Amino acid sequence: MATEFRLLLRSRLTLAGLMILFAAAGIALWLGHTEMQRQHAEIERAAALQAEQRTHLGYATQDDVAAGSVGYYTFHEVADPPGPWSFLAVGNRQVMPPVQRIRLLGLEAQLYEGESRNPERAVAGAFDFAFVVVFLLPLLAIALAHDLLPGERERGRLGLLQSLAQAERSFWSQRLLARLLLLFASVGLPLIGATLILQRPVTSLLALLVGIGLYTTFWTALAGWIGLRWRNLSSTASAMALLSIWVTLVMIAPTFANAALARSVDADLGGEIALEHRRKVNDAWDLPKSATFEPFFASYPEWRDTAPVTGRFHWKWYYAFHHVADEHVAPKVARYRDALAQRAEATRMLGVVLPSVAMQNLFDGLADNGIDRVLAQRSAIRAFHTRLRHHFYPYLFDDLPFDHSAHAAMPSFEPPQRTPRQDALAWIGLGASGLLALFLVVRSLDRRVRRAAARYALR
Amino acid sequence: MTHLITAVAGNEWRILVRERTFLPGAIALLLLLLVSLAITLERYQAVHEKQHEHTARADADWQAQPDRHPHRVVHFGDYAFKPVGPLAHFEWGVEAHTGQSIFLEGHRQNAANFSDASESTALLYFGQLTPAFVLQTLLPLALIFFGYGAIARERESGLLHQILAGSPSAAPLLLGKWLALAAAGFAALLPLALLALVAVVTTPEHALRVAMMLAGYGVYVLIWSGLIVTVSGLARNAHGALLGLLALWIVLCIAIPRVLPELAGQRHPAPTHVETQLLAEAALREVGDSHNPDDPYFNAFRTQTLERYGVERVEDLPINYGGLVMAEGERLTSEAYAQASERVFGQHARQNLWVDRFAVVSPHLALLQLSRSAAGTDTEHYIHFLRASEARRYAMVQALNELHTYEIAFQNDRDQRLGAAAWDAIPRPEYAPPDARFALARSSGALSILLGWLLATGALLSWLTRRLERAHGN
Repeated sequence: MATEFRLLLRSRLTLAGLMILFAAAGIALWLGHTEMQRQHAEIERAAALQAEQRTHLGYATQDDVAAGSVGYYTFHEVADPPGPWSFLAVGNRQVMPPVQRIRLLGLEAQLYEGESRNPERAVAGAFDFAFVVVFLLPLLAIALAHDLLPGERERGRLGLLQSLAQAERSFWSQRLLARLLLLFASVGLPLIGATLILQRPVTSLLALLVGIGLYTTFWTALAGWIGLRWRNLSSTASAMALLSIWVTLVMIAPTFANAALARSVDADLGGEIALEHRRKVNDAWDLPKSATFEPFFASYPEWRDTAPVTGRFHWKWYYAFHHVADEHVAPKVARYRDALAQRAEATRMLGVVLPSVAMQNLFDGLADNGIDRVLAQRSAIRAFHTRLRHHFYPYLFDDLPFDHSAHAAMPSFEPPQRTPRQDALAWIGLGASGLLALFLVVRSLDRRVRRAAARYALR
Repeated sequence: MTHLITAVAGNEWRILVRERTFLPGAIALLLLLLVSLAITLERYQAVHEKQHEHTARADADWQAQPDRHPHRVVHFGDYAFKPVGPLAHFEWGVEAHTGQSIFLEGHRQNAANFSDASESTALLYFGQLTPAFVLQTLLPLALIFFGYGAIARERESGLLHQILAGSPSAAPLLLGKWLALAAAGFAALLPLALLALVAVVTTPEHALRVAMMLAGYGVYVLIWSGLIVTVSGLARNAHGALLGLLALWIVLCIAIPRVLPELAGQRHPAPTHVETQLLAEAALREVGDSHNPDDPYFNAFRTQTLERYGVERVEDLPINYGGLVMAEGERLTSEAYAQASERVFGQHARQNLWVDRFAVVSPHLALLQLSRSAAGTDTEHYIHFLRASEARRYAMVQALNELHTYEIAFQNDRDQRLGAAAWDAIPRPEYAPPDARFALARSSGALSILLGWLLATGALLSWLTRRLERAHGN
């Protein structure tokens, strides 16, 4: 084994390839980390600017201001700060806002505000650690293992090796294992380093390392197997076959699945929600007040007996029809949310059959920057908006002045807790693909050994 | 000489198509092209229909408005939809990563929302299967598979020495092999050419865009074919040639296009939408607050207005002072928001410029820029839409403020309404995408980078020719 390592590392090309992978992993970790630092800073800057605006409004020190005005002019920043592992896979953070602003008005008109990122940067895809592992690591595995056996034959050393090696099986498996370990170390060491420097929990790291190990095993074993299985395969044919598999697994199958998913799970509801919400809010201005208060009091009977609105305008009427509009689009919003959740579920299912998707899903589960996080954040914002409304309702409906203590007691947003999800389907996909590739290699080796024994017996 | 080259090319072509990898590779490529075209066509159709439906609904909502105070209409607002250009069939570009609609209302500048990317799972990080992706990324790989052995295998078999020793020059052989390989690449471009023909016939105004694209992809095929023949001629054996070419493909087509935009984003960071809004609002506080009766800016504005009309009190003005204040307030807020968003656009442009400059290192990157720019699916075109929407929003709000000023009396302002027919006069122009000249600067820059690569490839080949001639005793 030690000899094999020495042999491998003596090849300048192999060493260069491993160094490049090592460096790519390091750079990706650094880029991911700086991106997350930047998003933290963006959130802090927004919070500071928002606080400055609140100070300027001056409601905090006034005791006689109308609750309606406070609700209208006070924005609350709702941030989605990166989690401890977000730097591994940037995911939806490339397009979703790290911080939004919410006020007392109808929520569904505020919730889906986009972010002004450079779309060309987003479409290129992030150069994050997940990319290095999912895309680049297999390429190096192919480079190191595709000509394991064909290469020896082409150099005319195969016969010699066969006669020298007492146990052929251990010879080939040691060569494969050495490659696997070097590949694993090239991405594993930077990851361990980053985890220690950033002081992230070691248990998650260990789980992730196991996942990466399985993925590395899949590709290394697959690359070795092709040469062992088809005895007359040239090293170039082996390289082309493996690269075709790579293109299929990391480029064609996932992109095709994504297109199929976009088609089968219709989530084109956002635009409709926005249009309907706006119409509902604006129609209310021209309708009798009862058209707003009847549905509102059905949800909030506790305010039914407060003073009726007789004039042209009253804040409680204003916020009531905003809420009624939210309630009006609620079924569509639920369908929209379910469609997105269904897409996330379908993507997890796909991980069972595509190891590339399983690996990406494992990163996604830990980094928690995917669609699940977006949905969790939206429900947290919804809950916050409800608390905010409930805080304001007594002041609005009983016409109480919104004094400084009411201002101080306004709820503030807390981002939802992150609980690392264990994506069982990703583990099944990674485990099954790794074991299958291992099994294939072992079976091919057994056949070689049997054939060699038969040859020996013949002599 | 030319006769010789075409003869060699014809011969090489026959060898190429007999190659074991050729048929499966060609079939796979063709299938991918068709599938990707079907996918983008369907997506295009779906987006188009949805947008049509939403536009119709927004129109109907607008027209169904009852008699209202004009300022109610300012808050009712309108929607601008970003249409998908006809060349997006082929090159989807940033379409999936940009919001498709913007809500236009008074006092605020909203961001576009509901992009496909915001509704996608981790699968999107693997990229998108579009015809452009197949030609930009997978076609070079197929060409590598077809051509890595072009010279290397003949060297391995000893045939190369025989051929070269018996001929006065190595040039016909190399050029022939180059052309044969390029011909295979051009065959893959045929669907694009067909599509181009359809586009030119149905929408002649896209002729220039289509021509730019075709030129770019044609040059790209020539570059890769030349690089493949060169590396095949330099490598000691076919295996080395294949590995070298694959490494080149990984660097040029996979790594660089991801790393550079990332670095550009770090070099020229753009503020978030929320920060942009907050900064604009802070700048506004410095100017004046139309809601504050003691605000110095609006006090001066009132004095000026009264002087202009030669009256003492706002009640005596022949027009509605409330409408004037609204218009002035909108002018100020729009200016502040426009300045803030121009800062963001500026950063995006700087990021892209930085990447564009580095496209010199990768023809793939140059082709990406050319293709997206010519197809009208790059950041520049998206920003054009955002600017047009802002212009439309401003025109709408000010037209409504004008109605407020001239058609609504100052007394009991809020209790008055205008007939619904008034809303017909408000400008609601549909977005008109820019013509081809808009894309010319960026796409011709990318095209010149590609032509530079082509020249360099030619130089490499001629250097290889001399090297082979020397090595084989001519």
